[in-house]
Amino acid sequence: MTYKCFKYQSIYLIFAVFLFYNFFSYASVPNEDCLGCHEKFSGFNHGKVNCNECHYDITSVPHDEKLKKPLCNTCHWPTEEYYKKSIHSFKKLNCKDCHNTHFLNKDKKNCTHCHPDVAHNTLPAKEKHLNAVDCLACHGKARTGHINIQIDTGKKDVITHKDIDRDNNNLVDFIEWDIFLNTINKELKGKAEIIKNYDIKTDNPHVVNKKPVSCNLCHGENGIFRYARLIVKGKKTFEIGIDPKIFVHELPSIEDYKKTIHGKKGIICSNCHISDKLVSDRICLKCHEDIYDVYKKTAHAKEGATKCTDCHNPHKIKTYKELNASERVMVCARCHKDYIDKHKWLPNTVLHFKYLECSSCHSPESKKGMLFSLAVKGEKDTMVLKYADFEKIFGSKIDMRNIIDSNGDNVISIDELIFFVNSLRKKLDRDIVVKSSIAVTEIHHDYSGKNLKSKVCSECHMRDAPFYNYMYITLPQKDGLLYIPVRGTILSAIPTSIFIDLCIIGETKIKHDDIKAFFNADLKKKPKILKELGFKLIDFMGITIIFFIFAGISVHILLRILVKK
Amino acid sequence: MKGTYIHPLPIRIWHWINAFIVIVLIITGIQLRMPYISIFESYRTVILIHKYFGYAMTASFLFWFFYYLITSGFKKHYLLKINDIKAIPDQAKYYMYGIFKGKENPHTPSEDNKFNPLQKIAYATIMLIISPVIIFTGILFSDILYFFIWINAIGGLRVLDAIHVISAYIFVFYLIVHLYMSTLGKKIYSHTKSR
Repeated sequence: MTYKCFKYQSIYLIFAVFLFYNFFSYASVPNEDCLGCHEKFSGFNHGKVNCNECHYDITSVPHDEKLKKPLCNTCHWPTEEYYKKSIHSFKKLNCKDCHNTHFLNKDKKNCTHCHPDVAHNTLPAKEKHLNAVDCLACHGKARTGHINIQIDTGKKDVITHKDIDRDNNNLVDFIEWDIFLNTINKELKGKAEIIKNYDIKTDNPHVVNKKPVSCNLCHGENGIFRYARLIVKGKKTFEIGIDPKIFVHELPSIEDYKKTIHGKKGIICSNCHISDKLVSDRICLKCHEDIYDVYKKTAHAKEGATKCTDCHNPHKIKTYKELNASERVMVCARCHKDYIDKHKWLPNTVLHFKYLECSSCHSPESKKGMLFSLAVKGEKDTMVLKYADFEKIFGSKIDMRNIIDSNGDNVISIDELIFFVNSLRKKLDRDIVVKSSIAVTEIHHDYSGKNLKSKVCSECHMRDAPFYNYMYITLPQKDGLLYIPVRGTILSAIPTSIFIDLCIIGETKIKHDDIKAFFNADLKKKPKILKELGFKLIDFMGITIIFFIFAGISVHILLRILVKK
Repeated sequence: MKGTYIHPLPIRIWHWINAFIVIVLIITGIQLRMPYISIFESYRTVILIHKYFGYAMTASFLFWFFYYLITSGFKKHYLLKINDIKAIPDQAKYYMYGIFKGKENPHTPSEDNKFNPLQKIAYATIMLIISPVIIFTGILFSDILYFFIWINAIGGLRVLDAIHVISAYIFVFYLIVHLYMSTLGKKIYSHTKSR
């Protein structure tokens, strides 16, 4: 096309648009003309739309008596797409049945207008649900949800961040919330008002179903409430994240159950739920008799306080093996809420509980192992790498075992691990760390032992610690976790802390007790004790020499004073 | 102001900055080594302080090293000459005997000959052997994964830790003596004022 030709065409096009626009603007009937007869619609409100735009077949006034019905979808066609899927559409309800098209703000009809008294008899915790969420939460297409919890303590500054977030991880968990509730009940005598606001965002309010969504949508393991916020109002107002599952409890679902170890082995609901009563230990011992034999002799069972289901949730997809140390701690912490306070003697209490589970010490007969997992170092915390992350790097349908175990001997050596971590670091261009935790690999159900703390760091932080004999790297798979043994002898020669951003601690450090033991021992035993000190000898010698230096200086000072006189 | 300064201004400033860094490193080092001694509340903070002050010490050491290298101070102030070796017994005798009797220090510091032979030995050991060892091992500690091959060559983390800590102890021994000796001038503060 030549330039000249293009120029003429453009001029023609502009002229055509001008004519078209003028034709319609002159053809439309002004609102005043309509309102001359239809007085009751004066002051009508439908955005900036004129009468003639909906009543499109009026070309002049007076108009025909019979007019075509206005078509809402001329403008609201995206809404219509949603509405087509709604029960209201199937029931042939029109826009006008819910909306006052001439006065949008007038006579707003909500669900109760047509459904004033729905029994909701099958809805569990009916009152709670009906007060907390609107109809669309269950009958609409809910997409996301978040919870706002507000506590107003008046103007008293009784609640601080530390009171709620005891482990300072900026997230209030079940235990912290429970302890906190007790505290405010005590200190504020129940005067603090707790307002819970469940905010559910739906895809489009025009999609309404008769059949409500499954309970799982909110109460499943991956419910829509991913986020909850706690706002504490007092002298100083502050906000903190809180586990949404505290307020929207997780319930078992049949789909999820099929993925559990019980589900996979073909155990069906009625195998355990033989009546409407809670599942008793007897049901469990039908299969787990040997475990129960150990358990029934322990303090937990004897006091009749703890049933199997108090600790184990057979509906959980994650098996106990797949829980990390801190998740396992949570199992015990449901009852033993004061576990942090009781372990104050342990340096870095919170840090230890991130990597250690209770049974590491309180079930001496359990077999302990060390579990490693790969994580990306973020700004605040580390995030364990998921299967999807590995898929992004190595492509889909990958066998993690082949990737990490380069010599294919089914055991990971330290070199293989280092090589893998370094290559991940390069590929992701991010700092990869190997997280480790001490986990019980074979559980012995006797936790009766109390005061098991020997308070000796070297029991774990040493080369011969029992868990170094059973080390596994855990890698995510499409379903579940892959455990590959790590060659222990090599890793234990080089303390595992090389991977974790922890300082090495352990038997290389001397303690008061060591020095005491040395001085209290017989002369004959002293060389033996010194020999046993190993690397601690550095401190022993160091402190001794410092002592002698001070002694020497003191003598020097004394001589200076005495001789001068 | 009376007298002249023995040490040039940059070295005087360096000395006190370095002193501060060393004190922080020792305090944090104590808690790192003996976690049951709680100086700071968070162990992690201690690790971080120790790490960053370690970097500061590295910078401080490099400054000192290059300053003396450029001003050829090593030869002038640190190299033991024959006269120095001959003077060692006298100097030792002074500290162990003469000082009590109120005798004069056999060494008179000047801008061109700052240190007595014992000082030369002590300072050279600390600054040219112990400090570089502490700094080198400390840097290896700063990213254990990155320096994995080096650490393995040395004999593992445990050996690296031993070297770092033994050097640190020697540094502390020296520091205690250094602090005491600094009070042995005509008046307690004479040496500190370095005139």
